[in-house]
Amino acid sequence: MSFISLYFILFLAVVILLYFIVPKKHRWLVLLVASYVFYLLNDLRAVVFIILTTLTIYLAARKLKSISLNQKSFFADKDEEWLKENKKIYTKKFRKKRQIILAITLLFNFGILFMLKYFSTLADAFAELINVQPLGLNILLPLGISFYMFQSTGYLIDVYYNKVEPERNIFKFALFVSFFPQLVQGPISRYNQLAPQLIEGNDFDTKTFKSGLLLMLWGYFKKLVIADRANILFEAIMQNYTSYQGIEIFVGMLCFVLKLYCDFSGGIDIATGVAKCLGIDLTPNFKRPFFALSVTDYWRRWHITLGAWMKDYVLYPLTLSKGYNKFIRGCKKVFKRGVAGKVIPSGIAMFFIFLLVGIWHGPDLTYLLFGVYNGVIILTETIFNETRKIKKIKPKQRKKSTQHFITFVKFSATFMLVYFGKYFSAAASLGGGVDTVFDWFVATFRYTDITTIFYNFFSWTGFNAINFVILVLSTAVLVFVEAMQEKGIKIREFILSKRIYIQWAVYYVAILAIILLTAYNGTGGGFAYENF
Amino acid sequence: MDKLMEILTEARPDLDFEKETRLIDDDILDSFDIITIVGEINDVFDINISVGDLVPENFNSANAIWQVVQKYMNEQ
Repeated sequence: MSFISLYFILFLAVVILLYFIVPKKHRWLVLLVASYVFYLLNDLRAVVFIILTTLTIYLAARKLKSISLNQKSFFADKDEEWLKENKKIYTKKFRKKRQIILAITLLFNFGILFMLKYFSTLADAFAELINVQPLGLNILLPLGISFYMFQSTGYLIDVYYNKVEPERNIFKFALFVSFFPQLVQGPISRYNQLAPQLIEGNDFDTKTFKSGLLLMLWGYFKKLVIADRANILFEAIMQNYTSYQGIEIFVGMLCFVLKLYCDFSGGIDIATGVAKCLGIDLTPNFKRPFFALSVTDYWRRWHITLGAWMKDYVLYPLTLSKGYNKFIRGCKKVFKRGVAGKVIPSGIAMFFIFLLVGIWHGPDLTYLLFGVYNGVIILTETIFNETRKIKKIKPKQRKKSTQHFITFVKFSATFMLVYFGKYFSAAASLGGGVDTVFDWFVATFRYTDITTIFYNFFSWTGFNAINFVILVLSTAVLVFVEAMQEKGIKIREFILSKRIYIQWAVYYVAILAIILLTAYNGTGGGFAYENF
Repeated sequence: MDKLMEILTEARPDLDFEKETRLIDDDILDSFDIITIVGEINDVFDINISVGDLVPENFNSANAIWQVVQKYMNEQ
């Protein structure tokens, strides 16, 4: 049962109805049952994996807490002199115990994820090595496994650092791991932000409910009208890229960028809208990434919750570890107070994060290179910024028109850098390797004969002119709405502040537009990130 | 406190740390700044700030950061 089905809408209607009928105290149970029903209907065999993660993380968190309590009671009856002598040694012993529990649980869970993602590739490589027929296994990953894995391991690490109190009730914890709107592709939530909202029954609020519905409609528009339509053109052009001219290839790849963004962020909008209808706020995952003025800024706006997860649970623990501290000190000694001494230690750590994100995407060299490509750009930007800071270069006062021009250049340069980065993921999405990326890249700069441009475009792609116009116009709507939001205008609040008949007109137009303009042809209907 | 102010201003000469109280909440400091600042604090004060203390409340203002530094120095 995908988000893109009538069954889902019916399912949602029943869940919302039940949720607000049931007494407040028991509302979380409705969500738990709904989440498991949703998961069972989607991916029966994968339920084993989600239960395994829920159980191991729940038990590990309880164990971490009980070791902490033991430690407290152990020190409680000791006198001051004893504490002075022995406290450090015993604190270390208790810490070791907790570290072991944390490490085993994380290894076990990420081990599952790694095996599922990489097993078939590793098995084939091994088969080639010993000269036997490769198995050619194609393991489809359990629905949303990465996302609930990130969410629940984040919780465990928070418990380890005493940032959150571990949940006592395993069923309440199970709901935090499996909450159905965000199960498919995130956003990755934090325990202290999401769990209280899930457990306390929320009151029905008409305005919040309507706002949730509007957000869902916006998500469906992005996914069905833009993403699925852009995807048709992208696949038609890039699978047969030798037949097209340079600019046509460029259009094909633009369609991929559009598809990826509208598919992913559209899905997140639907999830956030569904949660909102139930009175639950999810963490924002996108902040108009294509309005960024640097690649660093772009990554702060794209898949925000994954970036935050990587920052809090990989980047900080890594850079604050004793070993890394020594490395930082070493760099400073060697490079004194220069840019290198500052940038190298943090830069390497950030580069590592991008590599990790690349590897997480899948066992393809293209994804790894995608990580390297972005890492190199971010590093370059950081060196540039730090040099400005150290040399205390202040932004110059410029004429307004010059300033606008500079902003435009920054915007365009960022877009092009991000655009070429997408060649890696686009090639991988069609099963191509590094050579495909290279061929596509070269093809983009192929000579375009203006007189024959788009001459065979429509007949070859099977994409008619009307579809093309719909794609351009709907993208224009998207750009307009995001430009308004970028200016701080809250579109949904604006619509909901209007008279009721205007609100209804908006609903009708939106629903009709989605139904009439959908590019969805009845097959597939999945999201790009659901089996990550 | 003076030493801390020196570290902070060196990392971000563009900010007035006497006034800022929402350094993290308003995304004024990015992760690169945090790594630089915490690395420098660890070095100068000879402490090891734990990841557990990297929460917004502890880094929203120079005063809050100073509280954390003092906590670690007292523990030693």
